[in-house]
Amino acid sequence: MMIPKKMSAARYAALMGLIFALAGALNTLENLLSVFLPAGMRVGLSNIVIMAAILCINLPSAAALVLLKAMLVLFTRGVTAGVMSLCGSMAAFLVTALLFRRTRCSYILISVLGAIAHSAGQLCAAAVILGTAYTFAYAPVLIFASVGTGIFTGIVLKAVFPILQKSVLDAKKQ
Amino acid sequence: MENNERKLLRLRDVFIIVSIIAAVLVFYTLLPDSGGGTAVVLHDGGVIAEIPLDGSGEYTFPQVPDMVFTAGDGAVSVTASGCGDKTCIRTGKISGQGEAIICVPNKIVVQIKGSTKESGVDAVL
Repeated sequence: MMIPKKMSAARYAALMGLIFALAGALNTLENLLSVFLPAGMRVGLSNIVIMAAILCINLPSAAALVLLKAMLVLFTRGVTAGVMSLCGSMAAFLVTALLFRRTRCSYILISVLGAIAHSAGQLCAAAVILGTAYTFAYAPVLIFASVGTGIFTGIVLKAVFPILQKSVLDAKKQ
Repeated sequence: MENNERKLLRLRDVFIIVSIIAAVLVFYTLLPDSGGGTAVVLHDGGVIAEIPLDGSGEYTFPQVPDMVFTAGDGAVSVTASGCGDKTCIRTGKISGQGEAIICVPNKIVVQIKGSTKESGVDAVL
């Protein structure tokens, strides 16, 4: 179910390993960059990888990457960060997957809505962990930030998609 | 749909994004300003303290011994914390009603409450 048609198991394992390593590296880069941003905001670099997986591989593989990424955060930055990452990425994954499969929305709109879903998922997780709805006071700021990062990730995704599609899909003929 | 035909941005989508921003701005301006309000400190969902904003000074609480809360100039901020990513410190000073400082590792929320009665969670949500 996970392996796309016409792709060998070995090729798939290598591809997923590479993509997961890329997601991990971008996640670390994002941690470094977030020092320059206002509190709680992130650039969303590692989400580009998840969105690219939705576009170029398939939905189960992208979902697996979301889980793996949350595990990575769990082991490197602790339980709370892991749970927040899982809830945020899962919400973003569901929204972007649905929009890419069912609508004609543009890359930028899908990225923006995905980023907002990511923030919403994290705020819900924070509300449960903290036991209070006060966390939603943070929502306006995060929605603003999501529009910015969503536009950025949408442009990157549109730029890399043709290249990725070629290297992921065409290479299997060799 | 085929993703090769998908556009980077469509005019309709610009309107959607602009209306999201407009909705948030309207929501923001509707939040009343605080004046002589208090900052409510919650730990694990329960109120542990209220810090008056018209005073100044540093506060620590036994529930979170490694956090220092500083009030002054009608604002409150977290100035020291033992948590990992220091999001609470980088949030800086908050003073407007509905603004919040959140520290997830320490299970701390600091929220500004105005002096007027109708304010509170219901108004914010």
